Order: sequence, then structure tokens, then C-alpha cells
Amino acid sequence: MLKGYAGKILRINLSNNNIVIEEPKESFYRKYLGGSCFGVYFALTEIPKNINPLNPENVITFAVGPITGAPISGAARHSVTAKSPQTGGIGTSEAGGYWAPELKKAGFDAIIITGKAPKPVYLWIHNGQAEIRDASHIWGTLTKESEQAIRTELGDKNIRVTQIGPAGENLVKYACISNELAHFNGRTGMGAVMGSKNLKAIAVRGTLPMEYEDPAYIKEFAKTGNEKVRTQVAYQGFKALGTNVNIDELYTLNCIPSKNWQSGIMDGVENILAANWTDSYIKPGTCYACAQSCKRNVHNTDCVDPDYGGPEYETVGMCGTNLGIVDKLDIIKINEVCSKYTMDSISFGGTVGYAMECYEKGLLSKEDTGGLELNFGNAEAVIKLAEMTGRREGFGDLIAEGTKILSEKLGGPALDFAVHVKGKEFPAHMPHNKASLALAYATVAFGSDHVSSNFDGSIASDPIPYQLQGFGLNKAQNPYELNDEKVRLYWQTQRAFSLIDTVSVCCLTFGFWTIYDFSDLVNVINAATGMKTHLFELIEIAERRLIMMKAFNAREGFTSKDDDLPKRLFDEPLKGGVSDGLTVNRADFERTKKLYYEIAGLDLEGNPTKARMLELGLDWIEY
Amino acid sequence: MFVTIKFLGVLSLKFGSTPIAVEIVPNYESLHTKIKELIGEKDTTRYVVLKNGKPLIDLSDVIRDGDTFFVFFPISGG
Repeated sequence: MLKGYAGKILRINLSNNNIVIEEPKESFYRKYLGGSCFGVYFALTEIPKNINPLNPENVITFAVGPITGAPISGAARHSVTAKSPQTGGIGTSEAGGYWAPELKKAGFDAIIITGKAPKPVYLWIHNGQAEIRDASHIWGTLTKESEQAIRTELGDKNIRVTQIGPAGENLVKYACISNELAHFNGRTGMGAVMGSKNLKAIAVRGTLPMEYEDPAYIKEFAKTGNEKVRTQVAYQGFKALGTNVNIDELYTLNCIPSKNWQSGIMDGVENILAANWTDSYIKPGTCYACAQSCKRNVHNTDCVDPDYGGPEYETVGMCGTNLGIVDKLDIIKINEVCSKYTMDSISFGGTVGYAMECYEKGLLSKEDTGGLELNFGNAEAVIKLAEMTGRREGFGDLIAEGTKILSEKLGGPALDFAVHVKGKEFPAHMPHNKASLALAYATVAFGSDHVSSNFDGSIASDPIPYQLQGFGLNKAQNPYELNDEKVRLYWQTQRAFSLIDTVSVCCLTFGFWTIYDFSDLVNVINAATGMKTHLFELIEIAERRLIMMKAFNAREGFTSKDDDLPKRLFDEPLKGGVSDGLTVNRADFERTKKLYYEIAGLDLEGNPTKARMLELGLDWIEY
Repeated sequence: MFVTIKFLGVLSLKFGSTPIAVEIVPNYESLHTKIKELIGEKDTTRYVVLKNGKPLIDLSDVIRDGDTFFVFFPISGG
């Protein structure tokens, strides 16, 4: 068996309390590697066709990768995969934090969970063993209370807990899963799948030794990354400012999503530029063993509990400017509620932004909202609505369904400005100035996603960074233009990002601009496992994941019509500033989408061809 | 001639938010040399330059006295 891995997968049926430990062959690990690729494989092979995602037969897989748990920046992540209640297709979501290394040290590479417990339970996994324990006493509690209760009950403050809050228990469509209170498997509604199984939490504690092929290399590898963060201005800056650095660039270009994507500009954005956060309420935080430390922690205020973490860029965008809010403390408070209740702040912000526009247009009344004045900028209303949504109370029950269902209930002109793809709200990056995101948002199998490919800015001027030249991208392109070269940018980097999620490392430490590049990734996988792999093999595994996801969706009836963008992006130019007048060009989108299908081995409906499945050793798939 | 360089994002940690007036020979080679000199590291291939708020694509576009260049380190993600 390869080193680096635990070599064991835990299988749990909550309906009959059956617990089985499996030891897959080395060939399985070599073909699917780990992380999200494991999750997608089990989803495709074990979830029955066309079931409701909240049905007990949905299978949810928690999986780590070959280097998870090594003391290296960015090697602390895990994937959660299942059929998504938000989209009805494949759902897969990554988180950092501290839980994943503990699972590896507890002796498992993955946990596959099916069925539904008759009453609330949590799983307790420790050094090769697993138990199902009663969680009735913590069902309904916020995540801090339940984490403390579990640690007290089990008598160990070092236990790591991944869990759902009330939003997951109440089956909010975009409920997420949190570990250490502030690290999230944020998107695609995986928290609702846990809730549907009466599964409150998975507690892990592991002290088993980790075995590597070349431990001296691993140690030196960690030092190299740490040294870069310590000495290079770009990484020092990223540690200090976090992903909120996006705000500076997008503010300059007037492309920060504002007021339900009506504009890329609004008054007051200067208040939330990156440096203005660190000057006041935010300081760096981190994940297990990570020197890059791009997480945000809150300090210098007692308006929130700092244990729930601080807002990163996506929350600042989607719960900030997208709602007309530019006050830092307001955004911090909204972030806290989303964290406590375990709701995806991107989808919550997207849905509320849509509801606000409906309210201002008179399509929702004060009676509909239960008295909440949902005007853009009303942070107090948003904070209250966040709690109501997590508990599915009053108007919160409708917000809990997401933009797609809300727009379908309102109907008529309300459909014209609903911003989502496959039922999943957009992250806070605009395809208007990052043209390849038009393809990414439309075609990614689990709905609009900003960490499935590299942004257009990375090839916006010469010289192109060597990391991208190595992937065949060597000519500067206008980031606003959706042309054939952008199809290449998307496809080439999509496979690279798929590899990142398969290995379960962090795209903010391994990638095209980060402390480690893809050569580093190959080397450290080999040093951990001894598998003597190379980038060709790894990219093929990454592509296997992409094709399996598309096959899952094809089986569920998805077609090219589902790979589309909201009407607003094509038909309503942005208003104001240097981005005034920008749209996504429909003809360019259709042409490049078709080209992408051809390059990616998909047919005219966006579904995998037999030839591509054969090439990737996936000829066993039928859909 | 004099142009202005403003560093955004992660690079603003070193340079702050105040634009910097620099003297260059009016060609892009000179501009890039100056940017690398300011950033001061051996591996500086990863920055992106905007000219007067728009992406700098056409290098035949003449540099004029008083032009403003934004320089940022393009992260993907967040």
C-alpha cells in the first residue's frame, strides 16, 4: 500500500447502524487519488438515479488526499460530496481548518455515509474505530455550544468536530458544514444532506503515526513554503490582507458585484478596501500547519464572538456590496450569523440581494417579508433575516429555498433578474471583466464556482507567468474578451484546479501564483506516497473527476440548457464607472461554450462522450 | 518622462495606497524595469499592469507623460 494514505475507508449506514471498514486496493487509490475525486466516484456508483437529495439513499462522502495531514501549508483540506439539494446534480465542497488532518491520523482516508438515523446522532471516530452516538441533546444548538458539548462528553479538548448548525438541521438549501467554527464546506448544500440524515456532527481524534516515503523531503518542503511567506512581498501581503485584496482590484475596475449584480460600482467601497479591514477589525488566521494564513479573524470589537471567524472576500462581496452594505461591522455581524447557523454566505447574500431588488421594485411587500424593510443597505434587516433563514421562520423560510425557487414563486418579471446557475448563486467575481468565468459559471457541474479555474487577470499582460506558460498559455489577452484563447485558459486551468480538489490541497497555496506550483505538487505527492507519479498522470485523474461529475449530471437529466447564464448578464449593461455598459456577449458565450464542449470531450448537450470516458478508463460508466 | 504607479492588493502592503511618481524612458521595457526595481524581488513575473484603469494589452499604445499604471498581483480565488 502506498505511504501517506491511511489505507482504510469507513462506511456507515445510519439506518441500521452498520459500520464497515474497507481497505481498497492500491490500484483504486492510484486511479482516483482521493479528496473530491473519491467523493464523486462514490456518488456516481452508489447514489440511485433521480432520488431526492434529502432522501436517505443519498450518499455523502467525506474524503481527504494523499498528503493531508503532512505539516505543509495547504495540506489540511477535505472534500464533502453528495447529490446537491441546491442544484439536483453533483455537489462537492472543500474546507480547510483542522478536521481533515485529524481524520487521517485517526486512520481513515474517507467516510461514506448513507441512510438516516431514526433520531439525531453524531459520529465519534478515533484511532481506527467508529461509533454512532446520540445527539438529541445538541440538536438545535449553535455550533459553538455543540462543539463544546461533544468535547466535554468525550473528555478531550483536542477532538476536532465538523458539524451542522440549525440551518443544516432545518434543511436550508444552501446549508454548509463547519469545522472549528470558522472553516466551511461552504457550497452546494452539503449541510442540508447531513441534516436530512439526522447527522449533527462527526467528531474525530487521531494519534496514529503518519508514514511517508521521504519524511526529510516533506520537512524541507514545508520550510521552503514558510520561508516564501516570510520573505516575499506578495505572500506577506496576502497573509496580511487575505482574499480581501480582491476588493482593491475590483474597485479599480468598477467590477465588484453591487445590488444584485446591477452594477460593478457603488458609493462607499473605499471603506472596505483590503487595508481598511486590517487597520481596524481583522487580523490573519490560519489552518493546520499553514504559514500563508489567509483566513481572517476578528479583533478590536465585542459586537461578535471572534471564535466564529471574520469575513473573507466572498462574504464581503455577496453580503456586503451585493446588498448595498459597506460598513465593516455590519458585514462582520452578517458573517457571524452565517457561521453560527452554518449557511453558505455566498448563496445567502445572493438570495437576499435578489429579494431586495424584488422589494424595491414592489414585487415583494412589507407584508410578504413579515415587516422587514428589505431595501439595499439595510444591514439590520439582513442580520435579522439571516437568523430567520437559519431557523426557517417567517420570510426566512422562503429565503432558505434560494434565488431560483423564490424567483419561480414570484414569476413574471421577477424571473428576469434572478442570478444563479443550476440553482446556485454566483460568487463575487463578475464575468463582465473576467470573461472566462462566463464559461466556468455556466458549465461547472456543481454550479457557478470561482475556484474551478484561473481568473483572466492572470494572462492580462506580458510577460505571462511561467506557471501558466507551462500550461500552454503564452499570449496576453484582454480580460474582458471571451475568445477562443479564454476557452483554453478555462480548460487548462480547470483541470489543474480539479487536481487541487482531488489531492485536497488549498488553491491559495498550490497553484499558478502561490507559494507552491504544480511541479512542487508532484514532488511532494511522490515524497509522501512513493507512487512515482508525474503531472501527466495527475492531470488525467483530475480530468477523470470532471468527466465523472458531468456523467452524474447527465444521468440526472442535465443538458446544455442547464449550462447557461442569467438573462441579466447578457441583457443588462452594468451602470456607472469604468465598467459602464459591460455585458457578457451572448454570441461569444454560445460559440465558446460549444468549443469548450469539444475540447473537454463533451457532446452537444455537454455530456461526456464515450471516447473521452474510454480514454480516461471510465468506460464502465453508463448514463 | 514621469508616470504614476499605484500598487494594489497584496503589493499595497509594501507601498501603501499612495501613487508613486517615477521617471522612465517612454517604453514598456523601461516601465517593467522600474516596476521590478520597486518590487525588489528576483521572481517578479506575476504582476499585472493596468494603464489608466484598463488592462494593458496593446504594447504599441504610446506611453504619455502623466499616465497612471496600476500594478497588482493577480490572485485567483477568494
